Amino acid sequence: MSGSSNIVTMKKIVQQLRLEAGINRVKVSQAAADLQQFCLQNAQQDPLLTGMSSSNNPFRPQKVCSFL
Amino acid sequence: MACQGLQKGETLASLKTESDGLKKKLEVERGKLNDVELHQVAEKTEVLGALSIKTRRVLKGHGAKVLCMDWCKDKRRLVSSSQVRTSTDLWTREHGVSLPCTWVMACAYAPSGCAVACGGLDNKCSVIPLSLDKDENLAAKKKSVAMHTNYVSGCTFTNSDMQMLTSSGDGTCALWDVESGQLLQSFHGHTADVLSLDLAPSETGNTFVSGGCDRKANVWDMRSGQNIQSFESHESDINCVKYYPSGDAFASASDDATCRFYDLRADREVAVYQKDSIVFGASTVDFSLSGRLLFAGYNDYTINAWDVLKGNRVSILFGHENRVSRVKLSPDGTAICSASWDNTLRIWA
Repeated sequence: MSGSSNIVTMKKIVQQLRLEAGINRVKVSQAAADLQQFCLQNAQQDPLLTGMSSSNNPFRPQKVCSFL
Repeated sequence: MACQGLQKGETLASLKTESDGLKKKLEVERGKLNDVELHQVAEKTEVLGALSIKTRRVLKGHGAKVLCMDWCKDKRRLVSSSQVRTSTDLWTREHGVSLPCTWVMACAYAPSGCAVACGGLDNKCSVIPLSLDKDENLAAKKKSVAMHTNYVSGCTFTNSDMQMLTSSGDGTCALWDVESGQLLQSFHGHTADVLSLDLAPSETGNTFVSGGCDRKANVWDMRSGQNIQSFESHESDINCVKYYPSGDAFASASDDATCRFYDLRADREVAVYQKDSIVFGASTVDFSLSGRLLFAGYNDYTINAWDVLKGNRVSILFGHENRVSRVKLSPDGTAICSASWDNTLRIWA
């Protein structure tokens, strides 16, 4: 009977919401500071950010020097 | 039909009231912690200079729209799939090995580099071992692992070649044992097609995030099947989800023309990457190695690079002549590969 399956679905939704409502959260200021710190700590190792030189990047063309 | 767990006096009406109450409570709880915006925290960070990223390679060879691609851990090989076939491309030589898999919407390299998974409109995800022998009959070695009741939209191996996660148009995600094809865990909670999934970086444990046509992004515990967190702020289908490299956040791309950034510990959206001039849907996202840049592919044929912290667009990558279906960072972070409906892949560095 559709009535009882609606209740079962609703019960699942309520149980899920109870779970989600109960989790521990941190303030955005704290979370944002941590995200920022991670970026800054790893910035030097980020080739696309630092624009690593052609000689180190396997995808950039090597400049070929030839004697004239 | 047994209604398990129903307390005395609970009716549909009382549950609905409780559900509405809990949703409000969630909003309030999340709101209490929203003491500052991410871009405000990032105000003191240096502005990024212009990026020198350009197309370095164009990989042709697919005769149809390229729908998906993945890098091999060796940083040299890719697997890419189109409506017609799947192939592995050795980018250095630009020739491909065609694999017996059609109607592919999702493909992934196994961590060992020795096999490829692909799935799509056949409702299955199959694994094909790779061979150096060109005459090898790969079709005979192809093995069905995942079976869904609708198309497979995403697939990824977990930390080894032994287990695979899939997402499907049937609204579920599933974890499979590759060897036996056994379903190890299924993940129910989305109310429409699931279009994308991403595994958390290994240091952060056994979770993954999924996004779909119900506009929700869900975070799951792989072992229990439990939906641990849920985010609903997009105004249209979520086409792609990707974890931030630290594992504490993830980004999403949506048909609502925005990309969004969600922090898992704050349990809320912390940034929206949008511009009035961007009106076409975003189909795909990936972060640079440090997480500072977010590359997003759009249906207007461009790739936008966003400053994740400050929220502004840093660069536009032009070149594709049709929708961008996938962008993915190479394993060592030196390049981005993009796949497009213009039948090509591009490597940007």
